[in-house]
Amino acid sequence: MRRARAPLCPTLARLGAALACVSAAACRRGMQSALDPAGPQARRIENLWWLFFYVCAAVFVLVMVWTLAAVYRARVRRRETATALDVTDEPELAPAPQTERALRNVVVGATALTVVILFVFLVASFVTGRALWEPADRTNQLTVEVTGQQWWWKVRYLDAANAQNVFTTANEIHIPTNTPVTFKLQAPDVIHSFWVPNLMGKKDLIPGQIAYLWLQADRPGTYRGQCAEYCGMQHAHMAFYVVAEPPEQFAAWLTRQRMAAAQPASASAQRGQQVFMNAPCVMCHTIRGTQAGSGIGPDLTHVGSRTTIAAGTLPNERGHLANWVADAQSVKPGSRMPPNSLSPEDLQALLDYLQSLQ
Amino acid sequence: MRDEKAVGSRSQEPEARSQNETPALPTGRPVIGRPVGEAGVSAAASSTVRRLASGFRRLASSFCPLPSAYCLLARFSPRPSALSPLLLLLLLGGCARERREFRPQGAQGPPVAQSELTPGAPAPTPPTRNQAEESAYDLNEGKRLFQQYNCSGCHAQGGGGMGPPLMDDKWLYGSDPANVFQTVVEGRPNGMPSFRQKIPNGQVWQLVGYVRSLSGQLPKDVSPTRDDHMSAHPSEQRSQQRGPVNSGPSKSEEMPR
Repeated sequence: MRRARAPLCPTLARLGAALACVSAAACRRGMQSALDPAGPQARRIENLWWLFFYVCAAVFVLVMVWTLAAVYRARVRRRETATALDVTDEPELAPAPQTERALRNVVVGATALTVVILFVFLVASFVTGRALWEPADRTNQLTVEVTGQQWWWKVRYLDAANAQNVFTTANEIHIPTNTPVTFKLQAPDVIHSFWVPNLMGKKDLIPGQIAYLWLQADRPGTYRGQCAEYCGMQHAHMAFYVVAEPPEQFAAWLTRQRMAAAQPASASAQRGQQVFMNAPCVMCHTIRGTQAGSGIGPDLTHVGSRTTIAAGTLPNERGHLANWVADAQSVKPGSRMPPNSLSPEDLQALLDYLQSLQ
Repeated sequence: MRDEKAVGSRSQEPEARSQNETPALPTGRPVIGRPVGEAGVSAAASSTVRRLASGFRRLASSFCPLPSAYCLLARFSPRPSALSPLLLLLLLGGCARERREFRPQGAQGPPVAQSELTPGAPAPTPPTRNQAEESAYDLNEGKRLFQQYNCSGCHAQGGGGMGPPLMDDKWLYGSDPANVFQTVVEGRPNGMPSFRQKIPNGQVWQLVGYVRSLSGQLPKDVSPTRDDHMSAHPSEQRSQQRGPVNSGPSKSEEMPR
């Protein structure tokens, strides 16, 4: 028995350790990972996570070692008793008093340790939660209004001082680094959840309520966010990107986004604009500086400058854009974008126009 | 009443089992040495089945308020275990109500004549079949579009404002789905704009279905139910069927009023 178990245990342990290392390493780096924090709050969450992980792992190992030791000792003792008395199935009726005492000490000690560990967890969790939701310095702070809806994110950059500066974009949020940014979150249809694991924990968007959250990025980078509350058929395709840039770069982006769309330069793009205004596109989308001003679909004023389309579903490339315009239901069934039957020339002109909207 | 029945079935249960098991276990013979024959196996199997069935019946009666018709049948039928898959299959009939076609093949909806100018007297046409009127999903999409395309801006939730009301019995240009389609696509005099090429045909048919549901022209099992928010009028499902009375200017010579 002993010989059989001896090689098994180290193998299992080695396997488990290897597995843990691989999975931890895989999660360590990534544009959507809570274990690769890019801001102070995410770092707190990560610390809490690792505290839970190490303590739970230690408790697990302890319990396993204890159990195996108990099994081993019981077998040894039974073998000794059997050889000594030649009785196999005789139960021990009265345990020795010192065994009783040791048992009590172990049970009391384990219970006390459990209570202490749970209290440590409770306090750590409470302190982390307090720090996460404590309002940062709100003076002169950038506020971004995010509206989650089936199945994309409408993003409005608010400006209390000058209403002219307010503009709308979609599915891509740019923020300056080392600056706290406030998010005003709302949902018109069903419950969604705003989650950028690299920067902050989740916050639910509940219809009829406004939720606030602030976050801060310490280093530049692109972080993927995802709706984290099941919200219908295309919940999985409801992603967004947070792009953290150095403040000067962010200011330049902000200035460009605030401007209305450029007039189409080439003949093809001009025709594309006409196609846009005469096709169903104009019923749902806004292009600032033109007649299109509907708020059902995403604002397309600077759609050419975004990296993805359809809420992070497809890269913003000409072929994917054509697919999306002509037959969005093949990409994202159930989304609000209807199929559009355009002639090839009209479609090419429309693509030229959309890509020119930088 | 329900408790009595449940107790009754439970009290009968052990009796039935002991009657059944008596021949399989003859008294006076040691059980251990007895060879297990065919009869013993089948008796044990049937008693297991019966125990399962009575357990199922008890379970069904304890959950009774939920699918009441299903449970009534399960309680009174002699063989609930045999009937239950069939009853579950019946539920599949409800799937058609929510059927969704995101990529309609070919032409979306029936062809509609785009002009009323015809030589001689117009031939009577059979009513158009609008497939969107057979799916609750399509009608709800119509309801959403009615708001989002701002039909409400003139028709005011169907009550009428700058445009005529849509929830009364009068149909200026006819109540057939084809007439409403024509109204949306071609527009009408005195303000109704044309949405030709602006609204895809599939969505127009959804809107047509919704407009017709506003005055109760559609069956209750597909019409939209109440809103999540406060609403200006009872839900389309609860509205009484009104009319339809064709009162339009184009057909005013034949029609009263």
